[in-house]
Parts: sequence; C-alpha cells; structure tokens
Amino acid sequence: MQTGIVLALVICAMPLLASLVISALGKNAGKWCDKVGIGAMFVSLAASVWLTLGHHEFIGQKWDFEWITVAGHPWRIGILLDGMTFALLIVVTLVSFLVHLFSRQYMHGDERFADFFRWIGFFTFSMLVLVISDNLLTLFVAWELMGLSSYKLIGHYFKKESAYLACKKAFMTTRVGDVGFFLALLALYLHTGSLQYSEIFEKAHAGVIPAVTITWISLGLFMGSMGKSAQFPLHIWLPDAMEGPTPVSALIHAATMVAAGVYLIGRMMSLICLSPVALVVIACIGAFTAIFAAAIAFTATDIKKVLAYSTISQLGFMFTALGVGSNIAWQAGMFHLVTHAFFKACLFLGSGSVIHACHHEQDMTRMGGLRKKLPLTHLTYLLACLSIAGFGIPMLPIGFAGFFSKDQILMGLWQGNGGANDDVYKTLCIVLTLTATMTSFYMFRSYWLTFWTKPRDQKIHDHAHESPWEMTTALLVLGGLAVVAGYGWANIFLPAGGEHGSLIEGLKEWEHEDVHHAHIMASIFAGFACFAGIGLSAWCYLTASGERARKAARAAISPIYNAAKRKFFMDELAETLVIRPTVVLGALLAWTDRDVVDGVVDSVGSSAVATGELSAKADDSVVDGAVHAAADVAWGGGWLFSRAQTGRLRNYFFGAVGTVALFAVIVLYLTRS
Amino acid sequence: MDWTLTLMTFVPLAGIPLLWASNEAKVQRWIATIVSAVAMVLSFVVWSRFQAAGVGTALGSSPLKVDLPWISVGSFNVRYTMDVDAISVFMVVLTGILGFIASLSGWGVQKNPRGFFAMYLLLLTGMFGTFVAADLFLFYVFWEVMLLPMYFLIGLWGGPKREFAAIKFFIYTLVGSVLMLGAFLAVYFQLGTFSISEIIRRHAEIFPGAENENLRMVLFGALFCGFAIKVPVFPFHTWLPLAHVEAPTPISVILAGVLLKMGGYGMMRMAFPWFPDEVVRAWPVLATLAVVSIIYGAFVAMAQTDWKKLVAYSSVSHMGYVLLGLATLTPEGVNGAVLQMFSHGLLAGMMFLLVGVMYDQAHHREMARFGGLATTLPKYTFIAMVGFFGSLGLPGLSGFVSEMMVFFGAFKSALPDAKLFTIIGTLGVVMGAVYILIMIQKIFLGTAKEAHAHPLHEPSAREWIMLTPLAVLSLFLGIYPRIALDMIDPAIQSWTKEFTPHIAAHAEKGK
Repeated sequence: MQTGIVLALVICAMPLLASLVISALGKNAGKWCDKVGIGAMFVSLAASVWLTLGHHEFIGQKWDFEWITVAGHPWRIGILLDGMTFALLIVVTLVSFLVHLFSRQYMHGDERFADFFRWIGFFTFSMLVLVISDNLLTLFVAWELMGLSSYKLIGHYFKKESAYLACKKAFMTTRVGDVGFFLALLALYLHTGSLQYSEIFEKAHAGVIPAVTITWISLGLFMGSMGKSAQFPLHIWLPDAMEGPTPVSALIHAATMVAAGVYLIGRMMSLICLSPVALVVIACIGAFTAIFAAAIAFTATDIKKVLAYSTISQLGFMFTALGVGSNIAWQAGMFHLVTHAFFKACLFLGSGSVIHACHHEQDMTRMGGLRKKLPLTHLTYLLACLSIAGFGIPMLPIGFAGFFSKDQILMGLWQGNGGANDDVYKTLCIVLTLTATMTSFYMFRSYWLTFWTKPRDQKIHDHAHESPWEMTTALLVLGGLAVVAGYGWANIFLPAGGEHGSLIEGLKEWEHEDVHHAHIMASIFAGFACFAGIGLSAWCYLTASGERARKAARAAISPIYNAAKRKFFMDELAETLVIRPTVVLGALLAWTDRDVVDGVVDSVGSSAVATGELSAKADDSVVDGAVHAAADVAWGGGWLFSRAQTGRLRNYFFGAVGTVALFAVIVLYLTRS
Repeated sequence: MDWTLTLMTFVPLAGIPLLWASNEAKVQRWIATIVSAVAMVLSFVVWSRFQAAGVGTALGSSPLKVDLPWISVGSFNVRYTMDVDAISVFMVVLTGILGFIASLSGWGVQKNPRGFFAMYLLLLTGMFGTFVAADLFLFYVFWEVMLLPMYFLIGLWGGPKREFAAIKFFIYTLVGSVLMLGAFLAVYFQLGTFSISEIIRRHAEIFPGAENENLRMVLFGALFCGFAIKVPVFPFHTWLPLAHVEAPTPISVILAGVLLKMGGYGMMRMAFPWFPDEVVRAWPVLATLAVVSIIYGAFVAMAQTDWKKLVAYSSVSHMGYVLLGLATLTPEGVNGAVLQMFSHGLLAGMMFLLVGVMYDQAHHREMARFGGLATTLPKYTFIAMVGFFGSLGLPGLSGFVSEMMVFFGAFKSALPDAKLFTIIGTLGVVMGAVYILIMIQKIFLGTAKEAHAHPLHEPSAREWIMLTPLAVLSLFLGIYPRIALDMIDPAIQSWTKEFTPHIAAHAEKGK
C-alpha cells in the first residue's frame, strides 16, 4: 500500500478511533473525552499536513478492493487522492481540530460532555471518508452517516423541544434530497455498471449514457446536494440547526455537512458538464438561494441566525459557480468552499466566544460595545468579516482569502462557458454582485451591533469577559487563515483538467488571456460590492443620520422586510404543503386499514360464521347426509380447540372447510378435459 | 447419508419431554434455552458443512440431503426428503439464532412456563422443518405443525385480545394454507411427484400449452396469495398487527423474525420457479402490491400511537422490499430480497425485544406516555438506536445493504415500468425515516411525560444477551455482507437465469 493511502487511512481512522474509545471509556469518559478527541484530531491533522506538503508525490495514488460480488459482478470501493481530496482533507482536519480545541472550554461542564466529543469525532470521520472515497457508494454511505451525526449533535440538548424538533427536521429534509441522490446512483449503475468515479466519467464521455439521462442524473445528484448544502427550498433545516451547541454549528457550516453537497457537485463535474441544462439549473438555484438567504440575513437579530443565513447564501455562490461548467468557475466554486470554511468557522466560533462571554445571550440587540471586553474575539471576527466581504485591492493580487475566491466566482460567471447560456451567466453575475453587496452589509451590521455601538444591556456588558486560551487560539488560527488562505490554494490543489491525477475533465478550458476582460469586470463588481456594503452599513449603524435613513428605508419596504423577517414563510409553506398532508394521509390510511381493509376481512369472517350457523340449522331441521358429514368434520376440529377457545371457532372452521371445497370445485372444473 | 438436518429439526421436539424433568420453572427455562442453543449450534453446523462442501447451486446437489421413502399407497408416493440450498441454509441460520434469542425472552413468561416452552419447542421444529423439507407433503406437514403451537402461544400467553387475535391469525393463515394446498395437489396430480426440486426442473410440464394459460395463472395466484398472506403483502396483512401486538414478546420476535420469511421463502422455492411465465405476466400486479406495501405500511406506521403496532406496521413496509426484490427477477434484486429477509429478521426481532423490555417495566406501550428515556436510560437508548436506525436503513447496518440492492435490482429490471415502480418505492426511504424519527422523538427525547410507579431501569443481563448479538450481527452484515452474498449469489444467479427467456418472450409479445 502506498504511503499516501496509508496516511489517508490514518487521517480517517483517528476520529473514529477517538469516538470508539470515548464510548468504551464508559464512566471515565467525562474526564478523558476532550483529551482523546483533541489528541486524535491532532494526529489526523499532522497526517494531513504531511500529505499536503508531499502532494506532488502522493497525488494520483489510489487503492481499491472488492467489497461485494453481486451477479458475479464485483463492486469495488477504495481511496483516491487528487487535488480536491487534499484541499478538503486539510480543511476538514484543521477546522475539526480547532473546533475540538475550542469545545474543550466552551462545552465545559455540559452534562453530556462525552457524548458531544463522541459525536463530533464521528462527524469528522464521516466527512473524511466522504472526501477520500473513489466511488459514489462509500460517498453515499458517509453522506448518510453524516446525517446521523448531525442528527445527534443538533439534538444535543434533546430535552428542549426546539432542539429535538430541529434535529428531526434536519434529518428528514436532507433525506428528501437523498432520494434524488439515490435515484441518480441507480441510474448510473444501470448505465455504467459501476459507481467508481473513473469508470463513470470514462463511460459518460464515451457516450454510453443518453444525454437526457445525464441531465436527470445530474439533477438527482444536485437534489442530494440541495438537501445537504441547504439550497432553496431544502434549506429550511439549516437555520434551525443552530439549536445544537455553537461549535457544532461551526463544524456543520464550515468543514462537514454543507461542504459535502458542494463537494459532490464539484466531484461529479466531469459528468454534469455534459448537460448544459443541468448546469444552468444548478447555477440559477444557487444564485436564487444566495440572494434569498441574504435578504433574510438582513433582518435577523440573533447573531447565529445571521451567520446561518450567510452560510446558505455563500453556498449559493459556490453552486452558481459550479453551474457554469468552465475550468475557472469550477475552481472558483471549490476555492470558495475552502476559504469559506476558514472564515465561517472563525465567525461561528467567534460568535460562540461572544455568546460564552455574554452568558448565553445570542440576541445582538442586547449586545454592543464589546470590542474592548473581547479584544481577541473582536479582532478575529473583524478579519473574518473582511474576508467574507471580499476585502482587498481590486485588480491586484493583494487581499483577504474571500477576496480571491469571490472575485474568481464573479469572473467565472462573467466569462461563462462559451455556450448558449452565457447571457444567463452574465445576469447571474449581476445578481451575485448585488448579493455580495448585501453580504458585506449584513456581515458588518452584525459586527457593528456586537462590537461597536453603545452597550444596550449594561448587565451583559459588565459581565462580559474574554474567553480562555483554547478558544482564542482557535480563533486566531482561523482568523489568520481567513486572511492568508487566498494565496496558493487554488493553483496547487484545484487544477481543473486532466493533469495532476485530477478527475475533472471535459470542462470548458479558458486560458489566461481569454479571461482578461472578465477579470476586470469582476474586479470592479467585487470591489464595489465590498466597499459599498461595508461603507453603507457603517453609515447606517454608526451615525445618527444613517440610522434615520435606515429606519425610513425599513418603513418604506416594510412588507418585504416583514416577510424576510419571517423567512419568507418557508416553514409555514412546508408545514401546509408537505407536513400536514403527510400526517393527514397517514391518519387516513390508518383508518382505511382498520375499518376498510380489515373490515372486509372481518366481515368475510362473520359471514363464514353466519353460513356456519345457517348450516347448523339446516343440519338440525333437514337431516342431510352431506351436511351431516361436513358438520362432523367441523365438530372434530372444533373439539381440538374448544378447550382453549370460544364456540365460535367451530363456525370459523366451517368457513375454512367451505373454502377448501370451493377451491377444489374450481380446480376440478378447470382441470376437466 | 447425513442426518444433520434431521437432527437439527427434531432436537427441539425431542427436548419437549425433558421439560417434565422438573417442576421448577427455572429449570424448565434452562432446559428450553439449552435445547434451543443446541438447535442453533446445529444450524451453524449445517452452514459450515454446506460451505465446506462447496457444491452446486441448485436444490438436490447438497451432501446434506436425506431421501427416504415414507408413505407409499398405490401411486401416492410421499418421501422423507430433507435438503438445503444456499437460501434455505441462510434461513435456517436465522431461525437458529432467533430461536435461541427468543427462548431467552421466554424467561419472562410467568404463566405455566412448561406449557409455553413445550409449544415453543414444537414451533421450532416446525420452522426448521419448513426450511429444510424438500418434499411438498413434508413441507406442508411442517407448515401446519408451525401453525398449531403458534395458535396456542398467542391465544393462551398473549395480551388482552389474545383469543380473537389467535383465531384471526389461525383462520387467516389457514386460508393461505388451503390455497397453497390446492395448488400443490394440482401440481402433484399433473407431475406425479412431491419432490420440490423435480417439480422445479419439470416446471414446463405443469399444464403446458396456451389453452391452459388461465389455469396456470389461477394456480400461481393461489400459491402467491397463500404465501403473500404470510409475508404479509398488502391487502392480506391485517392479521399481522393484531397478532404481533397481542402475542407475548418472544412470539412476536419469532413471528416477525422467522414466520414472515416463510412467505418470501415459499415464493422463491415454489410459486416463482414453478410458474416463471406467470410471474413475468403478473409483474405489474406484484410490483404494485410491493410498492403499496412499502409506502402504505410506512404511512400507517406513522399514524400509530401504540409502540408495538408501529413496529408491526414497519414489518409490512419492510417486507414489501422483499416482494419488490423478488419480483424484479434480477440477481441484484433477489440478493437484496434474501438479505432483506435476514436483515429484517434481525432488526424486527430486535425492535420487538426493545419494545418488550420497556413494556415489561411500564406495563403499557402508549408512545405518548413515554419520553426522555435518552436521559434516564442511556445504555438502553444506545442499543435501541442501533435497532431503530438499522430499521431506518442507516448505512453500516444490514438494512441499508439489502434495501439498496433491492432498488438497484428494481431499477435495472427489464420488466415494464420497473423504473417507475422504483422511483415510487424510494418514497418509502423517506417515510421510513419519518415514522422512526417521530417514534424516537416521542419515546427517547424530550422529558419524561409521567412518573412510573417503579422507575424504569436499564435492561437486565439476560436482556443484554438477547439484544447485543442482534445488533452486532446487523452491524457485521452491514459492513461485510460478503459473508452472506458469496454464499447466496451463485444460487440466486442460477435462480434468476431461469426467468430470462420468459422475460424476453414477454417483451417480444409486447412489441
């Protein structure tokens, strides 16, 4: 086995091992679970770093084995190392390690401390398996195991009603998407006889799969992604998922779960790019989700809710980019996944630190002026906000991580894929520019409201304190990465095209010279979005005139504002259109089962009884030899059970004998010849 | 001549007199459990011998076969034939495992334990016999031997409505037996043999020709309905919730874990291979019934308030996958169906045990009256999650592999509209999650709804011995299904091959 494969196995095994060890520790788990978890993740992270540093050597290594044989046909599963895998491995292990470290203090004193560490370990394990898989089967398995882990973690405080409803909602909503994913697997297996990426792509490019089927398969895969990565209309679980502890939110929103959906589409791009229809659908749903979620984020006052909607919105950015189907846009989408993981983890853990400091107050309207109380949290939150806003110097390669990835997304959209839908992509580019402006506005809104402005709740403000070193270390590392992660990543790990063992093929390949114009446009758009958004929000929240203008504007658009505040009634819609009808149908079918289906059975039974009684009467009055004999049989059978049973059995038995007779007559009739 | 099969089948019967060795309930329990354990070990011996022989795939080629003349009156020729192929071996092992585990569960029976275990051991003999009999007459005898003790076990040791449940179960199943018997006799009079393998070989001689088309369909229909009642397939399922709910826990385990499998087994062994052309013609009906069972069972399960009833209806849903898999006539689908039979045996057995553990303590099964068990009983909750998430089809546990393969087979099937049926069927995957998660929420999450007279406690050592092996087996089979597939796949391939010309002919006719 090659070194790279061994490292990948170690990376995956460590968090699983930690999870199992914590389970095995039993009563002592509370004392050791944090150390076991952090230690295991440290090993995992070290192995990832090793793998990443030696990526030139390890890239393209693969290993697989025969899992089962069905119909004499082997199903092979295994590991594949390519640029995407490296990029994701380092992100997942790093973020998960920092989340483990952070949680040690954040979750301190929780009565289910050990359970928490057990499940975040398992969560990380599932995501890592998903990333190293060389086939859709193990990817799907990991995908579902992630569903289980998220269910457990979102429902960590399961005594609370809101928590147990949220975890159920998350699992069910994602399952709806999984049906599409699963059907896509069935179709792929039917047409290619395999679920391994390399074989699927090879056969797809050889034209084995009909074009229409490719579109359906791609949309099925995307349906799975819509569930996991919270795209409209399957996004409804994600805001509720913040019922879980804050570190879990950081994990879900950055390294695991929602990243899985984007990864799936990115991974399957060689197939999806064969269907222009599927591409444009993915891009449109992504862009719509982006602006839709951004509008809701404008109105949220809960700091975690702002972040939750911003995640949905940013995921929309990624899908829009992936929906273009060109090399630069694909790279941009995956690149944004990486940079987003760092700044979003930083933001979530930052919000956790704020909530920790404010004694579990999450409402921004009761915060304010915390920058002096929480200097490190403030600093890292600012860096992450600048990163998500895409802060940098337009046209120059100098900026925060989000600057590069967002810039590239807009560029990819403006450039299009040289096909018939380029106008659509240009329009989506404008939509995303608007969304990016909204992003920098609402992110800075949360920043001003939390760290600047006058303290609105003096008691909370007085008691606020900076978090312990484990938490601030995690924040500083992530904050640092939010600044610098833009350099190098994309070119080293995310090469589109056949080189470096990458499986991504068949995309529209733009050369550097082609995109010059698009680059200028994107820089203008991105620069405008960043500075206009930040400037506007500073004016609105830091100056008196701005506040008046803001209130006037809100009054002017109050219907839209209120609708956004109520999440555009998506939960109510789901309740009315899906949940309630399902429940009613269930009740209806249960009634049918009891009173109709079983009713028929029982009435057949009672008519058999009636027939029996009638025969008994006939037996009494008309002494008929045949009836007599039949009655004797019935009595004989009846005697057998009469000690245990009521007399009615005799009659039932009569019915049974009658059935035999009837059936015999039918058979004899049909076999006469 | 190898007597292992006979030994295994009759060890439980021979154990019955031992129950009179002592008047102590404790001793009787031990005797029954030891006898069941011996039978289980013998079932493993059957497995290993069958594996070691490494023989052909069809019934009749195994070295375990015993074939002796039994009743010979004129031309009426019944033989004592016991034989296994890979599929029956698989089912025998399931019976052995669940037979042992349910005997442990029977320790909780307070009322006349001697009578209970006597009936229970007779039931075991009937079940083993059904799976290994290779002569129709013998098969029918065992089939009915199974019925009788079941009737008493439900009727005497069951819940409040036990008598009605027992009668209904008995009559309903009897109707199925009668339909089956009618078809058996028709086939016998045609071919002059009771040998199951010979009938399979000579199936083309059963009322041949186009003029007998309808007759063949009637016979197939009779056989199918006879087995469909056992599975149970919608709309023949209504005996099941009643019988399951009224039966005592060990009997629910056997009923769900083994008896339902007889239906699927019978279809594989008789109904389908005897009438291959009819199976292909009846495909739309079979697929519809399967898909309706899957979805309907799940919807009705969702609406239940009684915990045990929910589990009972989940069986209707899960056994629908078995029928769907078989009806696809693809190796993937049939492999999935057979695996699903085994997996459902483990998981449904486990779920009934889990419900039983709580029922014994709380003396009720109303889900709304539980709540918060995850806080008070973390260990019980952990093992329960394995069972329930297994039932929901979580990867890593056996249910996922089997359901997945059923769908792969169904989607691949060349039969008309197979894809449509598959797409509708996958709705069951969502609904499965819905009723399981609602149930978990009501029972385990939140806070306790009411104070119980005696605080609920974690399972006892005996209960752990019942639950743990099932969980471990389900996990093992979920990760390493090879152990089963390598054995059953060759047999299933040759089984499905028989249908290929019929599918092709049917497609030709359709054009």
